[in-house]
Amino acid sequence: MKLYLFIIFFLFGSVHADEVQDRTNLITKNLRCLVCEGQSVYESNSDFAKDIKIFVSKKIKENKTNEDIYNFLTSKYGDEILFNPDFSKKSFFLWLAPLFFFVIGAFFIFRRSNEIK
Amino acid sequence: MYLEKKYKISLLIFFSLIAFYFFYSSLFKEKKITPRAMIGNKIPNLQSQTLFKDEILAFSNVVKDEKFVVNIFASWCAPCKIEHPFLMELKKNKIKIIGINYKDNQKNAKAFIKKYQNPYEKILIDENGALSIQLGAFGVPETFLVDKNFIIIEKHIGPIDKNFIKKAVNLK
Repeated sequence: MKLYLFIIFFLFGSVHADEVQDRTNLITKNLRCLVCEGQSVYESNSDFAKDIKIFVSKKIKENKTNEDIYNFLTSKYGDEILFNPDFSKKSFFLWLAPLFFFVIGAFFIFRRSNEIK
Repeated sequence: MYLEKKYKISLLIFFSLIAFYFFYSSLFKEKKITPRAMIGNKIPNLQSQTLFKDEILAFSNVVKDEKFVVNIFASWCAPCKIEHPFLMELKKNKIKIIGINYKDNQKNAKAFIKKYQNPYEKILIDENGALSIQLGAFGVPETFLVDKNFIIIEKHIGPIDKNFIKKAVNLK
């Protein structure tokens, strides 16, 4: 009986640890390492990245949601820490620029093809 | 028709030159990001164990109703040695400095202070970098100028200089 209980607790513990690690990886892949060149926190081995990884995994264990963690980190480091920032007043051009250029390009192509006809 | 073609080509050259200028100038720009999210916000009242005494202190236990400076440092950090005389100058100007000893060996940190003199009112230990994250810091040295209402006025990444001292002294 004791052995069964031990196995159940062991399996449950390892599944939970995997879940924490998976979520830590998922979150840190979307965080910019501010002291590195173009690397995410997940990829980097810098002191800063290590601190953030430990911090994120601690917050997950404290049952914080991904949004709570992103909100906390952006309140401390600004949107610069996110690789995929939310749609906001500051970032609207970033999100809409591709669509804007696509529409302009399509307009010119359309006009040109009409001219040729 | 000929004029229109000429106009189009000049427009294309003009925009290409602008694009070239932006890409070329960005090659020489320093790519360091300086997050300013914390400036204008209240500094968290962090607490931790102090370096020289076996006591746990918060910022509010060290400073009361006065401006102060928070400096993140480590004995293994070479630029911290460069900025040390400036910290001593701040102390001479009667500005309290709270040190955050970042991921350091306590013995080395004490030896560092003994060798270069102690500009700090109190030194809090940041064993795993958790305090620095609360401050939105990402390295050493990093220094914050805080007013008497605990609002962060200035954040300086790298060794502080004469300008920082001037700002600290002039802050009411």
